[in-house]
Amino acid sequence: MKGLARLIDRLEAASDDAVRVQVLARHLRSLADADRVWVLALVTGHAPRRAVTGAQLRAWASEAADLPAWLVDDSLAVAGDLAETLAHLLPRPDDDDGPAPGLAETMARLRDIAAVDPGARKAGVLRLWTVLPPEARAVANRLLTGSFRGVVTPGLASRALAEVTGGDAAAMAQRLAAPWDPATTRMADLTPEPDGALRPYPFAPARPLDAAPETLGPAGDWAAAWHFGGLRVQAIRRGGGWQVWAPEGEPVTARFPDLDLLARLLPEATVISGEIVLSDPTSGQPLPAALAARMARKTLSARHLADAPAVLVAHDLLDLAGDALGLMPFATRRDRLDMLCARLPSGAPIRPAPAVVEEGWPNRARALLRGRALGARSMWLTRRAAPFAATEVMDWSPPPMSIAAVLIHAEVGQGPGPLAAFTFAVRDGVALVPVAKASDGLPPEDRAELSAWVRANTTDRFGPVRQVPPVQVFDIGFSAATAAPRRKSGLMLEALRILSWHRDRAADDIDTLDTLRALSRM
Amino acid sequence: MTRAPVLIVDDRGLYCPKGDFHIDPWRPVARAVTTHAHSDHARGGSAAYLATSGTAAMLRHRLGAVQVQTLDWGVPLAIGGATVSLHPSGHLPGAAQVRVEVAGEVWVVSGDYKTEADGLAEAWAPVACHGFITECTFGLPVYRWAPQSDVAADIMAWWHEVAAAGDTAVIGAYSLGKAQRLLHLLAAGGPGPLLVHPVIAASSEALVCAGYRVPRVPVLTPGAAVPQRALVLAPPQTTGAIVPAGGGRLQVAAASGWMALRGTRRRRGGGTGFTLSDHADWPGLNAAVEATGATSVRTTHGYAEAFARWLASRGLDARELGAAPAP
Repeated sequence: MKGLARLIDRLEAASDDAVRVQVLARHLRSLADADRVWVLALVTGHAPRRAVTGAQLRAWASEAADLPAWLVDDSLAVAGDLAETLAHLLPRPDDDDGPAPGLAETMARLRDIAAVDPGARKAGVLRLWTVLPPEARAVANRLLTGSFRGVVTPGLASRALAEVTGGDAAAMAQRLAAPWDPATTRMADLTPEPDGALRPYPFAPARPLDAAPETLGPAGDWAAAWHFGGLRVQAIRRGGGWQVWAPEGEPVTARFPDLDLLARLLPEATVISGEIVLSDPTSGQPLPAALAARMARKTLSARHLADAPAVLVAHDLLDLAGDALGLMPFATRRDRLDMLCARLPSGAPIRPAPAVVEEGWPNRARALLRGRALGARSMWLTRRAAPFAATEVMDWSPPPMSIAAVLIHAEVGQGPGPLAAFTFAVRDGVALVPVAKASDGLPPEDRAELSAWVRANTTDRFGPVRQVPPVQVFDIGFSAATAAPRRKSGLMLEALRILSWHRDRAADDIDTLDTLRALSRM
Repeated sequence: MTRAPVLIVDDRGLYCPKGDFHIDPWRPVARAVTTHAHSDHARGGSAAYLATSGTAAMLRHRLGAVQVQTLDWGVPLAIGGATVSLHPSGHLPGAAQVRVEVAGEVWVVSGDYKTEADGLAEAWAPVACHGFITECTFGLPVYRWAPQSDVAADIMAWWHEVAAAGDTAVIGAYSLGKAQRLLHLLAAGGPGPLLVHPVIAASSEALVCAGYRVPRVPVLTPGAAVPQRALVLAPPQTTGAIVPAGGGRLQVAAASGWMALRGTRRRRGGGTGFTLSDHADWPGLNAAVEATGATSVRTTHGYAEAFARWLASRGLDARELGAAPAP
């Protein structure tokens, strides 16, 4: 990591790009492949997410160095950079402790730190500080706090890489510009051979959305499409060839002869990212078991191919007829994809992933529940403005559990607006037991209507809380029910969300506490 | 009864009333004890100077015919009611700390100093005293030097990079002290010839005459093209005027303690920087204060206020030199 620190200094100090290419190429030559991948990732800005805050790091360093806060402040005022200041506050490591860990090892340690519970990260950080020299600590601190920035463009890095390994700098630049995880990328993935025209781009990372979608910002910034839980692939038509790749870097073309027709239908030099879904030819329902069987089977019978034909559900278009689209925003790529699919004959084994037409998070949340009827497994959210390099797919799955419950209380928030929170109950014998207090999920028009109803039907008030007759039934989604002995129900529901309002449903027809207890044991 | 102070600050600088002499005065005086020959410590115009023989040679080189009395290392000299001796400060060859004793009370003026031995200057050693006047150019805990051998390896690696690109390397370095230290570190040989600017050559020559073993290397001819793969040591203000040969470019670096922080590096014009300082770093300053055994410390040059506050928080009678005593 000290080598990386020195490299960054040199790249920042270099007078022009020609010098930068030479400096980077020379550094790459001196490294083993594992470290080369990391150097390329970091200098082009592929850095890990923030694992600790600057304030935490500052507190830990001041404590470890046994320095008063004012002296750290004075030092920070001079250095101007927190990561660097903290890096220099602690003694240099002892030479007797052996050589400092190399880049790949340091990055693995940083990953280990990020992987543990936030409360347990301090020990790992302190251990890392004791083995790194200050220059390397400064880089590590930037990586820890998410303030690390790349110093060269992918284009410049690829020129340096091409000098070292030979090969096509333009192809490497495309690869470096795309999202990729240095921890799982091999040098060979970054350096396509001259005949590697059919090799895939890196796959855009897909992560489960484990918070409320509102945390992503305005719904309008995000494109939403149905995802069917198929096999993620990149399908490449180039140089007259046809290849389908799974994310593990394995070609799966031979598993899907039913897609070969696309090789003739798609324009030359086209790359599509999507998922392969096998479905029932009559009902159209996806057949996940058939997909698993197809991947496992040695030979593919005609019967199997007929019973469960494959279709490429296209999510993204990376190259079209020789044009690299990676720098365009996702929304544009998606438009081109729809136009491309519309031009293909109707029997072609490809269709664009169905876009979710609902706007706004509450509407989409309700649509999410209906997705199962379409055979969809989740919703894929992609930032409309993201170029391919910054594309990250958020996988939004329906809440794993839901109950029908009745509204018993509503809480008035600050000011005259709609009500802030609602309390719901389930049946326990003849009694109603409150089990959930939720505010997220109700679309604005429903919320306004419900607020009006509550105001008109209030039977009692306790401070800001209004009691209403138990007649309005809602579906409440949650991720888990855990034991909570101090609550009346004995249970706490996590990640609560109001899913839908059943205006037509009677209050007799709600779930019981026993049902909820059973769910909690699942 | 309160004793008269051994050293005071008057309008010309640090002054010893009992001995009637100044140490590194900033205006001409009758008698100047000079720690070393850098221009911010050794100003011309004083009637008489006292210094080590190494510093004396530098003073004559820089100031011309001045009257300098030399004093060997560690030899006590009575001046009026004071006893003065000089002790290595490690800052550059001949650079001294000044020990002043009056009626059994000992004060040491550190001058500029570094605690790491560089193999060329006489190595710094602590001098026991009651009061220590210490510089603190780098008196903040962010300043922490790597061993000189590590820095030398970094510079050598950079020189190889520059040479491999067919370019010429230039390091901007003060002509007296830093330049000779670099010569000493790099003379073993690199990927091309090592040259020095004439101004540096002249300073080196003066040191050689004073008995120091400064490597002799070819001198740059002003205006003439410098061969590719060469490394040139030149005063910072002259590096831009160097002409590389053929199609090569100049790649300029600086070697200074100020290169330690990225922000300072950028404020000083960017470019490659090597952290090589002739001043003590934070651990060095703290170690020096502790090794003297001094209970009173006065700080000067650099982060004097912060360093004094830090020492005071450790239980020492410490304040900025010239500041009023705490009530």
